[in-house]
Amino acid sequence: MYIDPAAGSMVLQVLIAGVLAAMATLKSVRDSVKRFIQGLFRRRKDR
Amino acid sequence: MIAEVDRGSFRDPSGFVYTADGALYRQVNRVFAEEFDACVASGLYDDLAAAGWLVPHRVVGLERRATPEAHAVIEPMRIEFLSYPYEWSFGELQDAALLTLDVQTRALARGFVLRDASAYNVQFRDAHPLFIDTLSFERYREGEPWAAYKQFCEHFLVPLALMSTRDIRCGRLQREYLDGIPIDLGSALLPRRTWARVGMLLHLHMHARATRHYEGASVAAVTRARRLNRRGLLELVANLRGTVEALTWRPAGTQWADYAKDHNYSEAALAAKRRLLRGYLASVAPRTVWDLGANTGVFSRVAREVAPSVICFDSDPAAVELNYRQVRGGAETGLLPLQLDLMNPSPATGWAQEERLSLAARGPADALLALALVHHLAIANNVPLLRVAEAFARLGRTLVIEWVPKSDSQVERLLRNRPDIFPDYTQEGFERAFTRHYDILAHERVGDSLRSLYLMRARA
Repeated sequence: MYIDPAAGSMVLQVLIAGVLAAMATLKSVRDSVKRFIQGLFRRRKDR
Repeated sequence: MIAEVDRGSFRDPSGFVYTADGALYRQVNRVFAEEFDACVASGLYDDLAAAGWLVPHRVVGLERRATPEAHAVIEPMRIEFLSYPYEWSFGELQDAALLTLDVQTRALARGFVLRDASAYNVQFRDAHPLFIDTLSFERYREGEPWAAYKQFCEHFLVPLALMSTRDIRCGRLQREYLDGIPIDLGSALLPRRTWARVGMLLHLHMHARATRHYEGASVAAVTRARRLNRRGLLELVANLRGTVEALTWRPAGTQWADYAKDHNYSEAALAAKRRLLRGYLASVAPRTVWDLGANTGVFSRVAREVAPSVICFDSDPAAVELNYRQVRGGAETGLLPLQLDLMNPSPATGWAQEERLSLAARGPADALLALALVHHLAIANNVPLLRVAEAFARLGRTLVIEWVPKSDSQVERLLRNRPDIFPDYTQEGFERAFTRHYDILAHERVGDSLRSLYLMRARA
């Protein structure tokens, strides 16, 4: 390592990665809820 | 063999660039042997070079080493013209940023990581950015955050965000801050609305606060318990990429973008100018042409029909951006649009004023084009014609220059609101000044216009 990585930048990355992972999880939960609801309606229409 | 070490290549102890017997080499020092060999063995170099992302190189014998510390010597492909981030348009800087992130992602897939993310690691070749620092890779250690994250933000994200959301002219700060625009300065200058955009909030505003909060702290102490796994790092890089990509700039409203420089030319005169230019250039068969005041590159493309490499300089960021988009869109080769203010050209700068080369030090070009330019220098900027001739003679061996007389509507426009203090601005005065430094090889009136085109050769 020949450049100064800066302590703040190193800590922040870990936090950002956490935020991004949480956002990704939220998105996947939201998507699966959406799929589930869409599925319900589709099934009802099929009847 | 006498090796001449590149004066800008000293920061990284892993190796350096030098020239010897007219060839360009990069020495890999013993301290970096393990990392370099691992990178070669991983196939990452071949992979990146095949994708056209990394400058290709060949390994040469150790007998060409510059110092005894050599572990290996490589000969990278030469770049025709070295350009710097402060000369790039918005789109060029953005493409260089995206390339850096793509290289990082590809490296991570093979277990490597970028040790630095300097914008000076990128050059342009045939409409594409090219990563040139072969020694930027080291083995990735699981759990470690990216050491070059701050450098990436300061070299790329800060200038791009400022240019996109504040003012395109903020790009010129890069020339002052050679190691990237400080993140706290970037955060302070950005408009408030950028706090509402996740990418800029995280990577710029919070980043500025985090670096201030932890200033002087030990990285080991503050990150001890905190790990960043590979997935997290890839997410971070992907988010940076999205943030960079979302920044836009529409080139309009600046000086030349929506202004056809030769609008006072008739169609016939324009065709005559093209024909004359092509003929003049063909007679001197230049390898490199510098088009000064290229605007969006209409005549640079005429020059490109004759010469393999044409650099299109203009001071207007919109013109350079439009030119770059055209080059990129048409996958045009041998054309490089760059931003340059001739009244204040790129200086020799950095450590000992040797790290980054001045414009003149990157020349002279075989041929210089100065079309519809002389009146801007001599009248709008008061440069005496003799001084114009003197400076041009240092930049190019031959010169194709357009004489624009006072009776021309463009000159009349420049003189509309100021007294005419230019008694020597006549065609005779122009020839008198230029023949002090040049021999006139040919000249001709451009079609039915009032202007003339000259072909001149600088005296040795």
